[in-house]
Amino acid sequence: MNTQAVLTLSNITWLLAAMAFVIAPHAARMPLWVSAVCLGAGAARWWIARHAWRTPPWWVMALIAIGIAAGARLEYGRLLGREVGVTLLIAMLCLKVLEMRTRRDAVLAIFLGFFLAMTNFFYSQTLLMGVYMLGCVWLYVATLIGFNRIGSEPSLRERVAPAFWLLVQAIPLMLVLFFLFPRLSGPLWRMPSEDSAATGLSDEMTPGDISKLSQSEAVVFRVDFDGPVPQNEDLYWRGPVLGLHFGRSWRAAFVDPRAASANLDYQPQSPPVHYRVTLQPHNKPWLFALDMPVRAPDDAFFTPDFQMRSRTLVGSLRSYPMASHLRFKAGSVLTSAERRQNLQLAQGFNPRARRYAEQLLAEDPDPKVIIEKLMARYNREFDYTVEPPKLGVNAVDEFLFDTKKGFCEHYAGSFVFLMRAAGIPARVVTGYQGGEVNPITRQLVVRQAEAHAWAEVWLEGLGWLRADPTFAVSPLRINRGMTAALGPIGVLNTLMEADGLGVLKQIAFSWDALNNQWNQWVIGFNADRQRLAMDMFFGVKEADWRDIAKHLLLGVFLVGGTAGTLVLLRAYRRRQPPLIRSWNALCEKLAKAGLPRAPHEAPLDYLARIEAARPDLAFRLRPLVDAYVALRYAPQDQQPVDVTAFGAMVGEFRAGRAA
Amino acid sequence: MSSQTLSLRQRVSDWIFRAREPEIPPVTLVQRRIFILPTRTGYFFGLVLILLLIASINYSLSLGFLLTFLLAGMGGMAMLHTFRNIARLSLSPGRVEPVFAGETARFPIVVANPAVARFALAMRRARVVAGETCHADVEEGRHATLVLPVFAERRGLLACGRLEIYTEYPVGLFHAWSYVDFGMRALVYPAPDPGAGALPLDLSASGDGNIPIRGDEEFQSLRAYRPGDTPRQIAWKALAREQGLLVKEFGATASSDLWLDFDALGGMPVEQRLSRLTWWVLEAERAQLPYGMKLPGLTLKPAAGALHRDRCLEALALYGSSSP
Repeated sequence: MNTQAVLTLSNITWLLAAMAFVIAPHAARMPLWVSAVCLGAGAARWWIARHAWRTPPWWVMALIAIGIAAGARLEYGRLLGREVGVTLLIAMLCLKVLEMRTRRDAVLAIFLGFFLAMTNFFYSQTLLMGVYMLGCVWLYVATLIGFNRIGSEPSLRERVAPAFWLLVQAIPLMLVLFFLFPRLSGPLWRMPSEDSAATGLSDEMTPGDISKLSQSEAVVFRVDFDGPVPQNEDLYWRGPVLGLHFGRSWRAAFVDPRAASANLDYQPQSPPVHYRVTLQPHNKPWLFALDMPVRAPDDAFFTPDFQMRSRTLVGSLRSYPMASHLRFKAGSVLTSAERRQNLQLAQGFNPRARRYAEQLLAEDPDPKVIIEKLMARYNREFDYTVEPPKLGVNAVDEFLFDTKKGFCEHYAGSFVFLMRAAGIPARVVTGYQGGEVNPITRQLVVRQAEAHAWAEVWLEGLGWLRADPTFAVSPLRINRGMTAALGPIGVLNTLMEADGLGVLKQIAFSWDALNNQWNQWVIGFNADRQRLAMDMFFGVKEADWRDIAKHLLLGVFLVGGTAGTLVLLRAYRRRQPPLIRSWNALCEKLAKAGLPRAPHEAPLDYLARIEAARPDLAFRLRPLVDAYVALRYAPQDQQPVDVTAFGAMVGEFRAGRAA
Repeated sequence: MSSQTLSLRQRVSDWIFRAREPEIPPVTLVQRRIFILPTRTGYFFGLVLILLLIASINYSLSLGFLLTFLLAGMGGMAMLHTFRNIARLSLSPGRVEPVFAGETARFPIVVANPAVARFALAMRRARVVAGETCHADVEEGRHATLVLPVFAERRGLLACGRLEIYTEYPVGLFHAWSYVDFGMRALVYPAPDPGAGALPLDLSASGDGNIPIRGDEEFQSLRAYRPGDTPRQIAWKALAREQGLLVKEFGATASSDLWLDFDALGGMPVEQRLSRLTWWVLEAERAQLPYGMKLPGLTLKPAAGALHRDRCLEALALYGSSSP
């Protein structure tokens, strides 16, 4: 087979286009120079194909490859790991395509393109990404088809249509395999965990962190309540508890695994609320629940400061049932070690705040009075804003006495600082507050914008109490949610607020409902769900891998067999040539107008008869019949139109009724 | 390749693939005539699928599973599409033109397509490892011709042997093929040898010394038509007078007939003699001289015209071979 013939300009253009589409989502994550090298290599390859030049010699390619590896080493500080691996794969693939000489090289580049499509899923598995990558695969298959045509150049349709049908026919088999291929519950081997740049809460809080999060509309988790959704002011979703003061920032205390427990020791004071949380992957250990949860789900535990943590990082969609008591009394006894820890303050920071705390303590040593005085002061003098002024080293001092404008982390941070300075055990709690109910699914959707920080103080006889200074500044934030307190944040929310009829809101909710289904059935489809589905659809309880494999085989056999039969039938259906089909269509049209062709009638005789019966048709019908006769009987070079044009003419012809 | 040199491997393959005697056209590629196996690219694709599956399992990428299974389904469907691309085609042999040794013989196979359009159909000789290939597309309901070029090395009959019609369309993961043998043979004339020089117009051999005059306009005589005479020589007026089909003879007299004699070239190897005779046949035909040919055991009476030339060339091509 002539291998050079298929490396045509159009085939190479298709390959480069497919690569550009599949690499595009990576471009934002790659260093700029890598994107530039890839673009350059692609453009050079196209130019080489265009002018039928020779590809660069191997030593030039080797030098560039070494250069890229060295650059990546400088950029990432290593050559192993997911991010640097993906970057190197992309760069090397672009170089490979640049020096591509044979058909085999091109096929290799296409197969590696499927790997590139896969790497995009490390970063996003949304519905949109899925649809986009499906488009990319379509492009790649169309490219592959082009490389398998020998001798003749395929038209756009001859590339796109077979690729489309191949993929459409593959979908039933894909679904069978997806739902019935036995799933494992854990990875085959663990990869060194890497922080992908997912935004969300962290175990450190510096003023400005959470207000930055409030710009993000990304969904953190969704909640299905068994009963009605509780009041907004009860929706405190506990996340990392930050007990250590480090001057400007607050950090989470080290969690001693020995102190972990599956149950929390507290006295419930209200009946439990039952619900199910579906948590988006965030690559962190914490799980979110309403204060106070009854029991930790499997593979999770509680820390002494009431955090619920997973034993593994939440790297994939996680769904767990929960029950919480919204009213409770917790932590009646505080050990001296705990007391010491919750009074800890970094030395040498915020002298004015310390003096102020001492002054409050001197006025009245009762902790409740101090708290009330502070809350009253926040309420009187402070503003709640999502764009707080920048603060220096003594952040609490500057906030309390100079700027007096801040977001929840400023209030929680300064409040806990003052409490500790006044000798009252206290800590910062971060998490999410509130959420939005989707009227279609009745689900509560919690987004990054709902990120919140509040405080907990320990009072003798009462235990740990939630104290939310943000509530003192802006009660609306807690009662009605973020948008009510601050007005719409971000473009999307502004649009939604301006949209009086609620159309946008409706679209947004439908979109969210769709995404939820996607999460439940596609992203979150795991070993548990597979067992559930086996029960739901086939009535197999407690299915093990053998049951699943049996159904898989049967499914592949049935679905593959059906699809295969349908595909093959097309080859066995005898079809007339397009010219005859068009002519028959024309005769059909005339027959409907009351002028059927007799079986013995030749085209020109037929025309003569029609011209006699319907003179009005003559001038429109004659060119058609002439064209047919020419196409059927005249030599190739004496044909006025081609078969396709004749078909189009027949399509446009209207016989109408006799005048 | 002659049948004596068939290796064991070829015998086994003949048995598996049901080598048949030359078949009667047209041959329709029905399901049991078609074989299909993955190509090397296909096996590589399988490896790619396994790697994608491992990555999906390990990173629990649901979309990764979807991608892997979509591609797996695509591969399965591609097998059917490749099969479909060759199934139901109807093959019949075309006319094989004779060639001279050292030229390329062309074996045409007409492919009729009763159904949807086929692309990238290819053909090669089944038992030749690195031979030529040819390819064609066939539109829906039309037919196309696959013309396989085969280099004609020696004079004689060149059999193209069993032909393999195959396709890897649409994605190159599978190779679907079928064998067909119509017993097509090309007649290969000896290569003309320009070293033969001028025509052997040997005066002593021709008897009474009349020299044939090339291109002479002077009318000599009428004789009865013999197959192979060119229409230009036919005496149309005589035909109109209902005197029968007569041929006008010019210039050369019957007594000065040109004889191309194999034995006259004594001392030369057989093939060289045949090559020289071939050259002279072509020369004489160009000069429109009637000529006769003497081969051991075969004498062709002097005549002229394309049919006579072809008969002479065929005799030269097949000289010494047992087959007709």
